[in-house]
Amino acid sequence: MNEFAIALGSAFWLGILTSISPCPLATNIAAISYVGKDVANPSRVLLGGMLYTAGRSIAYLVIGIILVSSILSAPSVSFFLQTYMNKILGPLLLVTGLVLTGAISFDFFSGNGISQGFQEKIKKMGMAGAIVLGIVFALSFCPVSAALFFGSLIPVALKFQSGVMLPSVYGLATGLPVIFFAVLVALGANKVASAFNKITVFEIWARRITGAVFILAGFFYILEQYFHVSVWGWF
Amino acid sequence: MKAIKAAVVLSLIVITIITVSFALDGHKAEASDKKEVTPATEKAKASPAEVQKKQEGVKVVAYYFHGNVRCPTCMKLEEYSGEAINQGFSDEIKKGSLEFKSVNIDEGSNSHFVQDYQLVTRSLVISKIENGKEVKWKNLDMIWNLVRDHDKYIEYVKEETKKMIEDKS
Repeated sequence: MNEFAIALGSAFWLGILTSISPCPLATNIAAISYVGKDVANPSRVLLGGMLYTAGRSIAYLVIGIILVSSILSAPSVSFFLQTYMNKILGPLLLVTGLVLTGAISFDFFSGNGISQGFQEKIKKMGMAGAIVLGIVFALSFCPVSAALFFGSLIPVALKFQSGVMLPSVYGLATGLPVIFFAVLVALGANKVASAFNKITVFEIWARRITGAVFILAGFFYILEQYFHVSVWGWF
Repeated sequence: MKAIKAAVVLSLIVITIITVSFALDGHKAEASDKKEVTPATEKAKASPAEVQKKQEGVKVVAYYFHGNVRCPTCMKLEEYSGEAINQGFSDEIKKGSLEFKSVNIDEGSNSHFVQDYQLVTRSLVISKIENGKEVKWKNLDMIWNLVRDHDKYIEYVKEETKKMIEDKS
């Protein structure tokens, strides 16, 4: 039991390492922005952050189960996800960003731009969207997160035949910084917004900014995956 | 509710992706705990002349495997790996008994390396070749843990490469 406790600790640490690595940074920022945009309701931000983290854990434990039961091999899964998920991610972020900014609207019958009904829809989508976001972002492995997950965590998981617990703890750790910063951002914005008595305006702008972040992140991924242009080289 | 529907559809797509990968992966995973692969060979006593002859057919290749996408950490790994090999073993490189090769595994002709060395990501693999046949290989997977410490990284790669060169199989 002691050894497993150490393994849990390592899994947690690996998750933290993953979240502070440069290559998942774009998705982390997008996640913080998405989860934190509920400026009027910091408690909903906390819930959203937890749902996002749950989504990540679900993705990791599914892979964990698949690998521990030897249904597939780590190299196959690792490269499959690295190759295809990141290609899907760019366009997905782009489209989601366009929806969030209101550029694309489902509400064709409203007449005016961002109607009340549309805003309500977005709010409802928010919670379910957080889980989906967590799953999608977790599956979009970049070389560093692949090394930490498939190269370090999975061997330990295989040793203890733990396809659920260790990956879940890993997933929890990858989501914690997002929860932390999202709540921080939301609380800060909420305080400022309350001071000026403009909470609704702040909320609308928070969503637009999130949309813009998603669009930028989408471009970042499209450039990287389809044109092999590394934005990091520009800094 | 439209929102829940959307979430379910998306989740189904994700599950479909995972299921498709079932179809793509035809064989079962081998429980490979072994990282060093050494075929069983008889260690016969050799005379100095024979040792010399044997060593002439011996070569060590250090492969740095990367893909089309070059992330910042990946670039560092390649840079440090090249540095450790090229600067630490200039004699061997001149003689041709050690070589550093950067290989793109996203290129079709190189994709076999993924299964050959059970790669999960960018990796540094040192391989010992005797008379044209590979007799031993090792995936230096500590590089991911050491990439933040330049000196320890270089030391690790040099140590392992030295061991591979000197090890008589």
